[in-house]
Amino acid sequence: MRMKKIIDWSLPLAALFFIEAAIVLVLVYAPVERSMGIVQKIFYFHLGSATAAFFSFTLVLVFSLAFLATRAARWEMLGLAAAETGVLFCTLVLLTGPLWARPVWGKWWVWDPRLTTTLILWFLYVGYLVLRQAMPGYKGAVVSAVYGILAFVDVPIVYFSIRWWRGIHPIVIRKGHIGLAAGMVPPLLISITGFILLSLALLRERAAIERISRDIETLSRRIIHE
Amino acid sequence: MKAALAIARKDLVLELRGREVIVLLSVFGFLILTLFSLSAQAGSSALTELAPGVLWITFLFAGVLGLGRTFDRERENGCFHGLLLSPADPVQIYWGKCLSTLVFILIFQALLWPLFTVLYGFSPVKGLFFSWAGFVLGDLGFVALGVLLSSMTIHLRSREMILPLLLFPLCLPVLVGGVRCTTIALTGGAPGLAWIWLGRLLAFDVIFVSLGTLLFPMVVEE
Repeated sequence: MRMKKIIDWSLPLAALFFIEAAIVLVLVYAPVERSMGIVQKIFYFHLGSATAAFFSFTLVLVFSLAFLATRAARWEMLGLAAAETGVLFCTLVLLTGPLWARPVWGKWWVWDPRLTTTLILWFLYVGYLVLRQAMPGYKGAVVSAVYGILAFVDVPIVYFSIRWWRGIHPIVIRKGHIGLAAGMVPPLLISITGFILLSLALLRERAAIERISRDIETLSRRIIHE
Repeated sequence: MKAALAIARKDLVLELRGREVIVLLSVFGFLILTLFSLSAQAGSSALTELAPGVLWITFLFAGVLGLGRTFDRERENGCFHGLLLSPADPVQIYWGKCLSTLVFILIFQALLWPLFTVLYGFSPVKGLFFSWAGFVLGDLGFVALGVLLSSMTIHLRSREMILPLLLFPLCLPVLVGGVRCTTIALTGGAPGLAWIWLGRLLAFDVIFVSLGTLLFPMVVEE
């Protein structure tokens, strides 16, 4: 119990600390990219959000499997929370991308495979949330867990998309090699850490809210019956 | 396997008596192909380039309508409950529904294919093998996903809207692979590339059919 309390306050604090540090490092320490200029700095938060989104979607898969195996309500609430944070960060990816693309590519959006598949990914998990909304209760929990597993099949496709069809989306991290100036790496890593911690903090918060709202529902139903 | 065949046979016999799904779907598909041709400038080459994509989008739209209709039939009078109560294994029910839906879609495609080739200026016999290999493999993935999702949403009030919302993004690999196969077949591209895409479609079929087989019993349990 004490351990849980410690995580309760330390996780959001750590997330806050890393995100703040990332902002300072990106703005002050990181070198300005030669051809793209100051716009390139969006990239740190773009990739950070992308990592958090993929991380959350992976958690949806893990929690869905855990729920189907154990049928314990907590996994299902965590799965729902992970899908919501995933959609949140995926939305951020889809917003920060065009902000960068407009000055660099001259267009807000192009139908590049990486972009298209990421958008499809967003649709998939919005679908998950719609399904969950439309079907409350235990049955809905089972069905959304099943959908959470199916949807994850697309995640590797997004990853392979840039190999199957050559697009124009830049590939930053290749096998054992980062295509970045040395000064850009620490802010990037701090930013990624910050976003992952933030997604975890939000996930726990969201799951707690879900648990409380269900408790309220059961209690109010009991009061009505009495 | 016997139960699966019996369920598929039941659906096919029902369809043979009423003939509503396939006839409606074919007219619907014909209509979509016609409307798409109006959306491009008359005589422009854009339509020829888009044709395989148009064809596959038509398949997806018609497919989701067909799924909705066959599952409506099961919902009426609680037939689906009856099926689940029968001694047939849920996996058999899943395979049976997949099989009958697959046959429906293939018949629909066989009816639409000559219309499509004539309307969009292709030869109906050239590239027949790769187009149809793509159809069969693509349909299998579509059906494996579609039947699973239809049984997930069968009791929802807004299922007509939710089913395509859930199904279409999942069908991304089927759509991409199918369109590539049809494009190569119609434009006479390298057969090696067509084989690669057929291989990928087959891989997706294996993934989706096994996921469906594993997950369907959980979806329908009470």
